[in-house]
Amino acid sequence: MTNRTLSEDSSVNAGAAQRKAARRTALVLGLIAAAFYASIFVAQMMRNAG
Amino acid sequence: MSTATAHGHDDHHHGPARTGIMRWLTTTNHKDIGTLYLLFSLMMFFIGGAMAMVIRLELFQPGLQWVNPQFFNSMTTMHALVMIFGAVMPAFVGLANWMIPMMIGAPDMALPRLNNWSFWIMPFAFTLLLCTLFLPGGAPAGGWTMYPPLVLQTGAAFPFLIFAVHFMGISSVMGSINILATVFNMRAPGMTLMKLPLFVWTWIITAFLLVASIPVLAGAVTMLLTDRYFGTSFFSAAGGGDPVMFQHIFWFFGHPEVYIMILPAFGIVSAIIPTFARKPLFGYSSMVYASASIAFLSFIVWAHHMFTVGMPLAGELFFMYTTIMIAVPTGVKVFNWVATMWKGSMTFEVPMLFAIAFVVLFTIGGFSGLMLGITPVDFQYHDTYFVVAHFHYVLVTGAVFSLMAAAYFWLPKWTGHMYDEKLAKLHFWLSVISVNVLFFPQHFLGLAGMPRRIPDYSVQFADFNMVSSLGGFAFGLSQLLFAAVVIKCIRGGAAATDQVWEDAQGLEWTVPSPAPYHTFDEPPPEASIVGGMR
Repeated sequence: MTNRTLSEDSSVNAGAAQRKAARRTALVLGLIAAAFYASIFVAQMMRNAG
Repeated sequence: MSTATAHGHDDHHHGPARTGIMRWLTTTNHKDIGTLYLLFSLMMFFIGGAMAMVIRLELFQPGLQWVNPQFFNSMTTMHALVMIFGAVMPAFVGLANWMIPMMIGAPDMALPRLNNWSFWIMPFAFTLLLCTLFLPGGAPAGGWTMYPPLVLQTGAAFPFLIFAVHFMGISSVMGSINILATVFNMRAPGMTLMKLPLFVWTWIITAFLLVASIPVLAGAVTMLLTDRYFGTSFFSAAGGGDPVMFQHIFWFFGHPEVYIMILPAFGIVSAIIPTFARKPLFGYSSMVYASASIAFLSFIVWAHHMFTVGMPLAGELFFMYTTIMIAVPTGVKVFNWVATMWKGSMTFEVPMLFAIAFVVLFTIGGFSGLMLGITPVDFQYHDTYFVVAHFHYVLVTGAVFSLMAAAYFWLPKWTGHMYDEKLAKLHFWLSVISVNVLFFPQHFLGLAGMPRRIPDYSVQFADFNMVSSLGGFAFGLSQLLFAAVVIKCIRGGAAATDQVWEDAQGLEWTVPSPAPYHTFDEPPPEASIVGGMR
């Protein structure tokens, strides 16, 4: 955290570990969102089939 | 203070890397993107407001005077879509962009390029949506809820509507993911979760709601698209589907959406009231738990929007009881705000005036919501102007008033200038009076049986409609004053101090006014982090 240095691109302000952790958080949340999206189709198809 | 400002090795690092239009197109700076969101939402607020003026103009007296019914229906549909997805939600995202990194002592959002993309999708989405006004068949007119089979009768505008909603959703989900990634990974050392300002907490909860609910809306509208163009029958009874199922899916998104638009407002009010009451917030941790409870409950109340479609008695009871239960955590919040003001050294600058108006008027909207949540009573109120009055008290005197409060509260930090207090107070008083003239009579219209979404009505509703329209025109015009105050504040005014307000507390008030282009490139000292106050 204390390794943060200023750059014209704010994305490199954070330390490498922080950036990696942030990307991992974003990936997990993105997968959750995708799962919610897909689950609506699956549920509807199962309902209409049954 | 020195830790808060930029320490670049040359001047290039103190400001934006590019100038002109390229600065705004390519920016990854959270303050730039926050500004873009806020300006975009202000623009949408006036576009959506102009549509509201058309609605109130037509309803000024019975009969058809100004527009044909199809265009009237387009106006109600587009007004809702523009205000919800274009004005209120982006405004809260703009505030989050501006304030959250500064509040948690982070140099920027965790994913700045994603942040840029999240914003720039929005103008495309709304260009798609607004250009439908010029298409054959006109703009969507089936209501913002897009219920099939009615929405499937939309003309050439239909795919535009569906793709616009998808783009808005993608933007919202990416923005939410960014906020969560930022708060969970970029907090300054010592900034523990229970020290976070409540605005940050309410945004964490809001972001989870968005991640869980927006994909559900996206799924539903994708199915509408395939029903219309690819021969599926998700919502077509003729093909074995069920149109009522759309309503269930839509409101599974739609009710959390209501809290998406009000939880950040709770956070704003929780920042403003302690500042101007000069007291710590009463019951910080209960505020956090109440917000989380509201969020949880928001996922199990959806069918109160559709009691009248018919459902088993057990279902009606379940959704009625869960709906009423939301009053408990909401009551905790209102109690805490009032207790914060109790025996405080209060002053009434404009952010505080809007915050107090929020507490009073949002509570009125909450009470009418309780009335609507009672199943047998809802059978009378459903689809009447009572519902219109209810959600406008929640969304205008609730969400929009909190946004006004936030703008006045943080404008000096953004611009480095104090706003014109006299003009702002005029804006407040005109707004608070006219908004009640606009929406309070709509309760009476609804109770008397006036249906919503109609361009013409029976003569017994004439008087209250005229009063409501006059209030509407006054409220609409009053908002021009807000634009004038903002422009005047950007252009100049008395210099703002770093702390701006006498009892403002939090990391954002330790940076200079206006906030430098880069803040907290080095984490703030732990001693500067005071938690549990706001």
